[in-house]
Amino acid sequence: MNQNPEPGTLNPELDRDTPMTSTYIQVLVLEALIIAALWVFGRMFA
Amino acid sequence: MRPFDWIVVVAYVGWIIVDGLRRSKGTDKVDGYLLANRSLPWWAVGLSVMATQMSAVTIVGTTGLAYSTGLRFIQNYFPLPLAMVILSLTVVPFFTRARVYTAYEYLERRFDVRVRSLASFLFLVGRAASLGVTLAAPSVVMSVILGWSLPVTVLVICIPMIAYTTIGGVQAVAWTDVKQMFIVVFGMSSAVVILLYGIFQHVGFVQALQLAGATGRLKAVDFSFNLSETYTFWSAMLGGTFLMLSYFGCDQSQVQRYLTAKSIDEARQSLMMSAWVKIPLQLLILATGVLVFVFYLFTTPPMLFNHVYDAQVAASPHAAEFAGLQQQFDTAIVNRREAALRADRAAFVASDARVKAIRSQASAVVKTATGDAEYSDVNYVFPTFITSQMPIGLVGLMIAAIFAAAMSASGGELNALATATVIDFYRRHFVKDAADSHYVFVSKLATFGWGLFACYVATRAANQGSLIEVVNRYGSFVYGSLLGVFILAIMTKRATARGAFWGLLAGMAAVLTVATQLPWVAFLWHNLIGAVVVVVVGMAISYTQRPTSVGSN
Repeated sequence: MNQNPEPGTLNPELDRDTPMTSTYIQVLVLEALIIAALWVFGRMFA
Repeated sequence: MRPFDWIVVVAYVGWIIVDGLRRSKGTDKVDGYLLANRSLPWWAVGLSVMATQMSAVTIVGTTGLAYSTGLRFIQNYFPLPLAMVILSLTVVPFFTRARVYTAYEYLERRFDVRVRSLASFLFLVGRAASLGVTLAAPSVVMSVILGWSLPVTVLVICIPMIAYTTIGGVQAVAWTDVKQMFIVVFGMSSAVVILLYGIFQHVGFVQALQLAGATGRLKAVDFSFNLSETYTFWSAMLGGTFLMLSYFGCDQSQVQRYLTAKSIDEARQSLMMSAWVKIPLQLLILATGVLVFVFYLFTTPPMLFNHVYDAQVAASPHAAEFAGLQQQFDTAIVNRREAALRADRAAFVASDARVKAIRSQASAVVKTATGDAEYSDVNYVFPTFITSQMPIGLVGLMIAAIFAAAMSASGGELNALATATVIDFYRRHFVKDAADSHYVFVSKLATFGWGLFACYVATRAANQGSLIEVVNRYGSFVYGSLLGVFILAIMTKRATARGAFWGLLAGMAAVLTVATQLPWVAFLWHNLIGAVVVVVVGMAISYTQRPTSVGSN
């Protein structure tokens, strides 16, 4: 039944694996900014 | 609900079902039925990941929660971007390269069949219970609108959902999720516009924010370290991170989404979509709940939003007491409105506290009069606003969005339950070498069976406070322990099968003990406790054994 390649079998398309480090950093920086903005927002209108 | 709204609802739900069935092409093989032949683009997988998490529970429960307590629930989502980054670096390439159908399949390769079966069983129990809650949310809405009984409403929602999920498999689920996300965002944005229009008839934007802020509803971030407080920054970033890692990394309903992606890169991009969009999207939904609160400062709200017991209370010995509270409530509402219009902060805060106290007393009277100790109106707030305040057409659209959200999110979960049942139990333990068509048939049977089970649970879960919390509570019983066993599998080479198995049981026992003996500990911490106990106990037992090579212990 299993049409998938066995573990360890190369499949160039499925195994395409490009580093995304800059994306990860951007995501985490944005998250920190959102949390900071929400904290300031909450204090402004408390 | 007017006839045109019904036309919108029926047309939308009909389109969802027909398109879902159309997607059943190419699902005659197990790869197609369970993994869409690993062919879906990242954006469709990304929307499906978000849609599976953002069910009707999110729309109904989260807005009700924000109406009552404000934005603080957003903290629950703070760990999501971090969790997505960690998962993109770890489990996504791991599972994709392992060519597995279920996350638990990998545990047998790393440990043994006992660990795989136990982990899969825990997933089945936890997910089946929370699936019922996912279905209960729209059933609550429709019960309010139509006056139908809950079981009938559950069936009306379940039958089409079970039909297209059973026939179309994961492809039908994924493409339905894509449509759901667009309709939900459009519907919620429309609700915000209607709310702002209503609010601006009385006060400006800044004053509206000041009114919400005066009652603490704009306090989104709480840095206090309090184990008994459900939503704080620390409970989110510590307990919540474990919940997110576990949910997106170990829960088959999510793992199966990104296993359908074309490549490791596309699976990662699908998770990054959630990392970028999820917090702003949740803010939109929570802000809607806060705006409903501000809206009802100037439009008289019902004393209680849940009218299920109105007749029963009116016929009870508590009728006079309830009527007296209604009079006090009407006066308090007028006082609160005048204070809000005067921008008299002290008077506004005092009158809002009075309104809150009367609502609490009224709720207690209903509980006493009916004997329903679980009575709550949190989940009825937004549906009441939709049906009583939104214009014709948009009412239908919002109800359609809630319908579609319930069906698509539940469809993904049903699909995952069937996959784990067939791949981890039926094919592994009972019928090992049958034809593809046999496993597809059994998968469809499993989907149908879990659908019926979920319908039953849904009828039992509708009154358990805020539905979104109920879902997370169910999940937190098992998620932390599941994450612990995957940490042992992926992060350590020294862990043995025996260590993982007994560690997993110890983690579950620890969470159960904390949940029953220390009920003041907020449920998000259960995830951290479960994961830590599994890792500590698992490693301790592993060190009592002689080291063996990975995969052979």
